Amino acid sequence: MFCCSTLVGGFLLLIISIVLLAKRRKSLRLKKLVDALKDKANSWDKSEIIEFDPRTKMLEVDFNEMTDRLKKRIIIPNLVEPENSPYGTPATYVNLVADYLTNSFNFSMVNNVLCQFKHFKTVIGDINLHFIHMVGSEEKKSTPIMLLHGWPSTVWEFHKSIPMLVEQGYTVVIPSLPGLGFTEPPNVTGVSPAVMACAYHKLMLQLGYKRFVIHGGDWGSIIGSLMTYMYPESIIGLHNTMNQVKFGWRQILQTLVGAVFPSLVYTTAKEKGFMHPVSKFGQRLYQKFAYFHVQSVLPDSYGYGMVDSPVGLIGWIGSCYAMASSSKDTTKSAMANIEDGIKCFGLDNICAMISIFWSVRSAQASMRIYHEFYSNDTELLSSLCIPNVPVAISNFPNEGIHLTRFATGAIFNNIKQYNYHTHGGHFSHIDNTKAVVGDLTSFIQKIK
Amino acid sequence: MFCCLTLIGGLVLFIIFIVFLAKRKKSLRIQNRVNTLKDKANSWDESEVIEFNPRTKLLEDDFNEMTDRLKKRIVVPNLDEPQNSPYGTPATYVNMVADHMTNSFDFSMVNNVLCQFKHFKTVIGDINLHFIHMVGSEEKKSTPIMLLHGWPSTVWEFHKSIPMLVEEGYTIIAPSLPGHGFTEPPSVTGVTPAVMACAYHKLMIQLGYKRFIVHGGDWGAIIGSLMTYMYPESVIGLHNTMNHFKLGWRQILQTLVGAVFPSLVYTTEEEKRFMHPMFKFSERMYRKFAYFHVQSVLPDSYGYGMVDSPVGLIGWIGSRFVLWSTNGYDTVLEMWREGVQNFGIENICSNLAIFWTQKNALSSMRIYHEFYWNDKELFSNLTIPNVPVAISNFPNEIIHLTKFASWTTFKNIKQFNYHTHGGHFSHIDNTEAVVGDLTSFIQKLQ
Repeated sequence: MFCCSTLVGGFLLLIISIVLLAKRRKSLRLKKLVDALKDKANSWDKSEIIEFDPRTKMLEVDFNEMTDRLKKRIIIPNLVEPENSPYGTPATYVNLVADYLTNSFNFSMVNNVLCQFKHFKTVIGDINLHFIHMVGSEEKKSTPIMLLHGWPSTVWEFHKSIPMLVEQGYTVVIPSLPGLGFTEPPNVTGVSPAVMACAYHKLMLQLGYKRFVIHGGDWGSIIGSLMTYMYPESIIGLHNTMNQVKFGWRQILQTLVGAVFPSLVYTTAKEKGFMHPVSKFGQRLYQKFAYFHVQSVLPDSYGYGMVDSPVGLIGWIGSCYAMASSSKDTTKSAMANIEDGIKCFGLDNICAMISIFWSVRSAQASMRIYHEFYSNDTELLSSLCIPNVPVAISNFPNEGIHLTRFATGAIFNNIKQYNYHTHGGHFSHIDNTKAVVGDLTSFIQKIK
Repeated sequence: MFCCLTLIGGLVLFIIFIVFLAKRKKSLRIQNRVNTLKDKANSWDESEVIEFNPRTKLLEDDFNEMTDRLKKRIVVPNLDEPQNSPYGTPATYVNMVADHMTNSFDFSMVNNVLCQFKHFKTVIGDINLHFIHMVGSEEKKSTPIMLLHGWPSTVWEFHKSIPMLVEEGYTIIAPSLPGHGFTEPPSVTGVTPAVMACAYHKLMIQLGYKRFIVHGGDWGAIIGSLMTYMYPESVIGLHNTMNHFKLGWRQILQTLVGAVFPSLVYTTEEEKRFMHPMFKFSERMYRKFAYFHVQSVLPDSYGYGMVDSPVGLIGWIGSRFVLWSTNGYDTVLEMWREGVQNFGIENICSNLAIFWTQKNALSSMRIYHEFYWNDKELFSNLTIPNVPVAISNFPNEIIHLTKFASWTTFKNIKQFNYHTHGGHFSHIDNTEAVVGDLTSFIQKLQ
């Protein structure tokens, strides 16, 4: 009996020491990784900042090429049940957007809106980075804001928010994510989200902003978190509209308790629905991350049709705006959900995004960020923790990830603001601009 | 101490009981499903079999539409690393195929080759099924053969094999997989591989073949296995060129032993590399089956560009002919060149011409969706206890299992051959070997 306990005890100690060793090794590995990234960033030469006019890239002739191709499009009709096609984007949606682009959409509007802002380009490392830079009032100069969009978005996402922030005197810097909008895809591999975070940080320093506020959604949230992790001294505060999942004891505890006492644990039905029923969690993840999986392995293979064919572009990239803005109500048909999404996002906004993607021919290369992330940054992101920098999260009901404040504490230890809103989705700057801008400015007031 | 033991003993018994109950429930569920499928198949009315001329669907106009669009194609060049294509299909490949299609490819050749064979159509359930039917000699009439292709393929896959088999006197039936070639996509949901298996079986019965040989690759192998499982009385023998992966005690044992004594366990390098190193197994699976994942969830979303743009079609569908004809390290441009050599640029263009003119690249991917949401449980529990089975192993195939592991699914393996060259489409890149395996298998069974 005594022998038994000694054996078991010894075995347990062995396991504990192995786990501790592994954790220490991982911790060292991550530190090395971050040091290597920062060293590389330090080695990037400073480049000239030149003014940029979007009109030189958003050409009428390219837009007309798109509408010509749309007029001659080949689309096979869907099934007998076109409203409820379970296979993805319904043909009704593709035809709807195609018709609107061809008959009603005013392309020059895109240039007019974008040209309200000041655009620039500069080379940082392997990135020929485009960014908007609006200088604000003296009073608000101590809190410049970086607005970071994700995939498949462009700076168009912020076209309503920028004027609101500028009016309040804020300085805003908005880069185009590499491979999207006016930042061409890098022509080397290895430009992963962590590298982009270093580049964005370098940009701010080059512009003279030693400390700043970061705001982001989608990849913007992830890059913002990476930047805050690597350069905490530079970040006054981090505001994310998309939360990040980190699997740990908090999630497990919360899921167990929430299975019996949901109202004790979850603030919204969406938070509960994200975790429960647990038996179907795997299936929900399987559905949600199919696109992530393929884009992290074969982004170019599926993308040729999105550069050569506007229908290919609308069918995938174009569908994301509507699907990510809808309430994804499983009692409604696929087309009904899409129509809901169109109402929230707006057909003109859908077409503006599509026009930019088409004109700069970046749909295929835009998906590579998933591949670079999967090949380089997964360990770093999954170990990430932000202990001190103040963080704010905005929760919109039609967003894709819903976590409780308690679970969010696994990554962000200093949550200063955690707001819920009654409408808005993955692109809240489009479908609930007031709320997201309000959250951002109230957060800045709190942390000044 | 005694209390402890009784408690533990009781708990173990309880767990065994629950597992046993769950297995029984699953077994009943599967039995139910099979019965429902067979009942539904029995309810399908017999439809007229009408002659079909591929020339009515393979039109010069449509082909010219493709080359016109190719001439005006918009293709963004890839990275500056010319030897490496880490993100998928290289632009060099797409442009090479586009140029060949536009400047050199003779479209009429496709019609001429296909019209050597006799084509028919008939409605079975919700499928308007196309098939080739070549009636053989009296001597070989007792062993008619069903040739089943998969995704993304067409009956073109068998254009060299059919004459070889017909010359030997065999009766051949080769259907177009629903959503591919000349079988239009069904206009309702729910036409899963298991349903297709019932439809294929019904076709054979309608044509007067009560017992037959099934030969398949890719989805053809899966549908063949499903058919053999559901209608063992009809299948004389099953010959698959793509093995199925089923996790069981054999796989586990073999992998453990193989980690220490690989030569004891694995016959080929490919078999070993499929499982080892173990710690990289999930990474390999992640890379290999990314396409399966997305096509089982969002087939249409990524597909619009493949129907409207020949470049979209070449970039994805066109990539499979090449990559699945090499050992699949798709990041290296050299691999692409080798794959084109193995499959043949004329065959690549022929398949693409069929996909383009039939406008079914998008709908072809739906079979993954139907499988995943309906047939997973049935398929993963499938065993073939009695019907004789043959497996042909080609080095560039995507799945490699030992004979030992294959016994998990197939209990009566009569033939398990290895070949030194050939890939996922062995009817194209090692026709003699695969046809040889098929005919020698049939000889063994007679």
